[in-house]
Amino acid sequence: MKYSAFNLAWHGLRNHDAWPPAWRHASPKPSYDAIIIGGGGHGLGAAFYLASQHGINNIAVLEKGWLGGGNTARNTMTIRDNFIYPDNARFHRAAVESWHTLSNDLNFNIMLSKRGMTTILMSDRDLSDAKRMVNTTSLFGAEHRIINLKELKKRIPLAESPERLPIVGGIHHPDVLIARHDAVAWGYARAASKLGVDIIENCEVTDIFYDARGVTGVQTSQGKITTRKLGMAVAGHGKQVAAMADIHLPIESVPLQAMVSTPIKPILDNVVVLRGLNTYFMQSDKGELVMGSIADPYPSYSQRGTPQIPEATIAAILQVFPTFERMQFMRQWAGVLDITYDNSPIISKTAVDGFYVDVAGSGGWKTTPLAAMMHADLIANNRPDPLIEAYSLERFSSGHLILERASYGNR
Amino acid sequence: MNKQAFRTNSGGRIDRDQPLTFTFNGKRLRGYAGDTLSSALIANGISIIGRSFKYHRPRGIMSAGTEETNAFVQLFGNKEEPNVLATTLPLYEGLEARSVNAWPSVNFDLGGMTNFLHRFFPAGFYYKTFMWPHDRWDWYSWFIRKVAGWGAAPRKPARNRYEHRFHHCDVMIIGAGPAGLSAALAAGQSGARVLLVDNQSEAGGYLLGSSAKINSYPALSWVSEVVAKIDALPDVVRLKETSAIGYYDQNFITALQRRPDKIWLKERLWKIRAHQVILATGAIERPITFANNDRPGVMLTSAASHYCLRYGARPGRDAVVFTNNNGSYQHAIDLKDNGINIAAIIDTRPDPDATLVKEVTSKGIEVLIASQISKVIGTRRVSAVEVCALNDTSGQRRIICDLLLVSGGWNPTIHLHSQSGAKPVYDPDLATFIPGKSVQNEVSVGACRGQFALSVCLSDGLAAGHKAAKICGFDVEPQSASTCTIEPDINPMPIWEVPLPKKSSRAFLDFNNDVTSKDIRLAEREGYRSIELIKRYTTAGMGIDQGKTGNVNIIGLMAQITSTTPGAIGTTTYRPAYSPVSFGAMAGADNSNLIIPWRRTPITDWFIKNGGHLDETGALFRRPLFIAKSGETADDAINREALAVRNGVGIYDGSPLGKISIKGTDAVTFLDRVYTNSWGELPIGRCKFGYMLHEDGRLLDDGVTARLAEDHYLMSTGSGVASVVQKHLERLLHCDWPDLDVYLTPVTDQWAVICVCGPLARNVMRAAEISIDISPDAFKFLDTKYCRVASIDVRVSRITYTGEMSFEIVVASRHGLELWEALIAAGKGFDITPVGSDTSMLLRTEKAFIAAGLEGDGYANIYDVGMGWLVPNGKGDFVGKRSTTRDLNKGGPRPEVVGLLTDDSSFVPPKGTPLIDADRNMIGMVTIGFHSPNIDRSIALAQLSGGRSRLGETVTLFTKEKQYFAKVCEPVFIDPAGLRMRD
Amino acid sequence: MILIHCPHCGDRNEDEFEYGGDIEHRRPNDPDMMNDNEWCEYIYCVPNTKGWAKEYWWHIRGCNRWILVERNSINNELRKPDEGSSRE
Repeated sequence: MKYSAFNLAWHGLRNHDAWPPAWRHASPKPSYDAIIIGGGGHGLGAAFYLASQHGINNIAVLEKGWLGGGNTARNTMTIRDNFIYPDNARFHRAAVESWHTLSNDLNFNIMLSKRGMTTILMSDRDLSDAKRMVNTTSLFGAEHRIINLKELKKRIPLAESPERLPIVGGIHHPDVLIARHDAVAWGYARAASKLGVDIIENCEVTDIFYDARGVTGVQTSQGKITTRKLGMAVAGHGKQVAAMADIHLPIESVPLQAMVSTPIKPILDNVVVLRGLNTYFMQSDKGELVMGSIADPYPSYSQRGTPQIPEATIAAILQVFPTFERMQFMRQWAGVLDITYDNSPIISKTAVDGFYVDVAGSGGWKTTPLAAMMHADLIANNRPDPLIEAYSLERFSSGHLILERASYGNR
Repeated sequence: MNKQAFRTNSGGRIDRDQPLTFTFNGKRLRGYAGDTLSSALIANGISIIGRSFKYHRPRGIMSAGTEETNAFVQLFGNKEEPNVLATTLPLYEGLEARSVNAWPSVNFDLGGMTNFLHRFFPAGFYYKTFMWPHDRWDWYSWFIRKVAGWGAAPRKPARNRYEHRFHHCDVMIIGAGPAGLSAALAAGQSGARVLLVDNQSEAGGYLLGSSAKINSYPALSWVSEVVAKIDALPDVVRLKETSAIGYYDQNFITALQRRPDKIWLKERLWKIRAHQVILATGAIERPITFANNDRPGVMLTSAASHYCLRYGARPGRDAVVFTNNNGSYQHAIDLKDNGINIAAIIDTRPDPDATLVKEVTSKGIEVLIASQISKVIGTRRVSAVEVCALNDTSGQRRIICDLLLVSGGWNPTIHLHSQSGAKPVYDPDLATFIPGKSVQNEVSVGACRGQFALSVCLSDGLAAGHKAAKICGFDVEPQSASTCTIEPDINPMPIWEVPLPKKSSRAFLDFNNDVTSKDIRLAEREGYRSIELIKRYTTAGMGIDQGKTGNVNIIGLMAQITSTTPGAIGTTTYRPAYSPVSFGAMAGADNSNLIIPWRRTPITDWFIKNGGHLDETGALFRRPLFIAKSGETADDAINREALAVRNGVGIYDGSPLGKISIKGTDAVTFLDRVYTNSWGELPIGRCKFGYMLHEDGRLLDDGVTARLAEDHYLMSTGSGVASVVQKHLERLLHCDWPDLDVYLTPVTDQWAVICVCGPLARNVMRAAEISIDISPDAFKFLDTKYCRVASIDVRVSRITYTGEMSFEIVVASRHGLELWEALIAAGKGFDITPVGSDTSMLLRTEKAFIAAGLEGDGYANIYDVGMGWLVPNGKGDFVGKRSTTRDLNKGGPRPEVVGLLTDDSSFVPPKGTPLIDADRNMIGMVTIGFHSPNIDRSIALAQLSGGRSRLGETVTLFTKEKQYFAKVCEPVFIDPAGLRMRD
Repeated sequence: MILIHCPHCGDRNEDEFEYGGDIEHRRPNDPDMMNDNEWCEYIYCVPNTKGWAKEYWWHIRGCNRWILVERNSINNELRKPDEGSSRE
């Protein structure tokens, strides 16, 4: 059943009684040509691209909980490409591009908006770092522009220069997007399911089997399933899942918190980053301010959140936006990031043939379509696309890490 | 001005001698001190408070507390604020409020069109459309965003003051209803430190709106008695108008105090660490899901009782009660006694408690059993209801009324219990979720654990208060419990949805986000089965009220649709904040200069007075980048300062330099293990340069360490990385090498550092009457000596960061400014020039002194930056050694540090400019660039892939605007032999 | 805001401390004896334990000592480790 204004109206006149399920709720078959562990954006996306671009349709996606319940459900929706190391700059530029046709490819409106982002610079040092970012990313086709105080004031009229960290200028990032995060998982699930992919919820992988020739299957809470190709796209537990195949990933699991205000009428189009205060926020389509800052200072698998991060984040925002004083903090939450040693993604083969991993590195929301596409390509062809050659696990033995500071700082 | 037509003639907790005037939607109205905005609106007969989020349906007040889902207003005047809950806002003189989400007015709202087209806007409609033309969601969302959102952000900063306060206690009790008061009394009388918080303006909880009796007297006299006793206890703190909003790890609880005792303070956020927590948060009555259950005039039964008894405000004249439990009968009687006609009680149960039925019947109230309300008549206000039998919808009966009171049972307020990490469990007898097993030191008492009878609340609280105090070491038996009439169990009959009379009828579950039972069915039909998916797809429970009234009904309906139990469906996650908290309160006093600290050196103020251009330079210091004379540009100033250092004499404040004192008999061993080079042969009174690596081989820091005594060294570190280095070293000592006799003390702020540098430096030092012989032979490069300069005790070292002859003077911070001014005075005849950080950076660039942070870029190893000579052959283990002995070239050429001379000598490449090859591959980047006034052209340092083998080649510099070319050269631009600094 | 028990100072809020890593991830005694793979494994792969783990915490805004803490990384529950401070 195609999603369209016409069909919405047609069903509207029929009380919406006949909409079919968005995806089939499958039970596992004994064997698949390929299995993806993880039913979030990355995993469902990989299944969709395996089926749509590589003709592999006998696939299962195994999700231990509910679809998109990991970091797909917990991010702050921002899609950006302000990365300064060449491999990352190239990949993230292409990743931003990969979002543009997604709603139509999936026939599911993921509500992609080109909101743009403004980074507020609060020291000469920030400004000099900004020049580096602008020059480097423009080499890879990204559009970033340093703006002066006057233009900044025009774009973000509510911003006021705080005494402690006076505003010196800004960066405008016109290409920064936001999208409805949950919809990405649902859209991929629906499109993949239509192509024959089995989406199996409440199915936890408890072991991975392999022999000298490579992967042979997985043990799950719904029984044993055999396969020769296994892709891993889990967030928060990548270390544990890969360890089932005796692969040790250079990952630390660290919570990243986010919070929202009560909804208000539109006051802000851009995503705003306060560079010197490590804080960012945007206004959702529904009207809430969605805010975040740095990751927690110690690793944890707890998704509960702490009091100090919302307090510090909101204090920082209030410095530059004093009119927000009587706005209200409504809810906080946390997602667990699999932070790699160098903060950059791992999309790679492993020492076990047929076992592939897609680890976001520092939060994978923004790269979802491209990473999923590349992961699918890697699974199908067993060799990395040039775009992801640098993201191989090999880099940890060769010493050519991609130490991307932007992953933390430029959020 | 209207008179308050719905106000009772007497009674209630309001102060009728203190009338207040306020405006709502521009209309001047009157209320009393003690009112909330909602009780005052009810007394004035205002029934439409706002419009709903999606369909813009008129909505009235549904509750009397924090669970309110409809009555949000925008405040104006000098207290501008969006999304304020009318039900918890105390009325004040001059209050100006308006409805939100309505245009042009709440009574005639054009947005109401969506209500007529509702069939085209089911849950998640936006996922199915707005995809044409391709990529045009931005265009659609422009309209959608306008109609979304509630209130408007204030236009002016309010500039109120806020604070955070830490508090520690033995027992914290949340909620001052009957259970909480009992617990506080028992715990308090034991001598424990007790904190009692309650979100109402006075203690009593639900007793404030009830006619219950304790010890045969009105319950409120019991309340005032207990409050008086509690307030008399020295170690009990009682906070009113204070909502606990977050329950974090190890009993850390945040609570917002809305009107603190200080006139200058708007709100105070308490951060409480409690040994034991008693949750006495009560319960929230839930609505029933039936057609048009959202009309103004539909209200929770307990809320009506609350308005009538507590505030003397009647929510209507003729009421119908629709219930599924025994709890509503007493409310009906109370309302009847207060002048509201109760037309009928519609009870869904075939067998309600006979005593109760008899009691209400004797009051002339008709009871219809096994019945339900199929429909509400009236759009802007309830005008009648249609009643039918539970099993037979044909026999409709219409009852005229202007108030419909509903009670679908009670939901214990388990939010904080759940936030503490515990999992609530479903209780089929109560048809709701109750607290599960505690995972922190907390216990729920009374209604919030599903015990609704007053007698149980009293005894529950007493027992829990005693037990909690006892755990904390205060074991005093509480006085015996108070007595009260025994009420019947509430005995609810689960009813998740009354069948809708027509296909087009709508029954609301989440009023705040306009989610109907049809939306839930649609979501389920489309496969969104997990309760988390239901929530996200329909937005149910995601509104300002966070589903306080609606969530359990949604879970129940899902269970009904999928033929399972609500327990099997489970709840979504409860998260802070329990009720919204202002940004101001969240930030507290963290504003202005307190947002991040500003570390100052003793000389910072001198720079501010003398034209220093201050900027963030790391480690919270703001330092002068240059010190401009009037009329000078930044470039002018930097050039002047740099020339002065090379040709005359400069003076520089190096105080932010990290300083770590290292003492102990194993200090040399320690230095050998943390630096790449060897330290054994360093004599007392000499300095040495060293590089420190991360264990993975990357540069961590570089700096000079001086040997001050046999077992005493002083290490200097980069100012930005000082704390990183300290942590690195402390960790090694404490965790990896606990056998070493070495002690570290960070002394960065204890010592000011002043550098006098340049060919005339010696003259200045002599003019400042240095007490030692500083002739080249007596005081050599890398010597360090204690002496006096300008009669101040100092230590002077011959070390340099500029490549010039330098004296680095270390002085106790309290004498820093004095020494600085003495040196400026002594240098006057030599035109001594204060130098900023940018100039210092330029000077070190001319000399290619590698900065780990810049040339290393957090990436390079010691060989990459050309400092491999600092790794002696055959040296034993040191941190990072094993990584440097790996085959580092496995993955291709490394980035190596080189110098760059641009073809256009006036072009200064900015930091980070990419270097590219003919195919536009990035092969490196500029790490720093300057115009060097000393060689009068631009110079730069760069990281270049395989750069050491590319000397003499030309590379392309890529900037966004233009490409430039530069010749790769040796990175030292001035005095390559280093003669000047050794002079 | 977790509450960490410092054996020298008592129970203190987490913001007095800095996390110092899993004690399993201690520096090897003789790095030169390890082959490249073993060394890389040590450098890049921290244990990242899910569940109870013994950790170093640095009481930097307190007594400045490194203490051992047992923390459950699933829910941030804490308990006193059987050992005291590594260094008195």
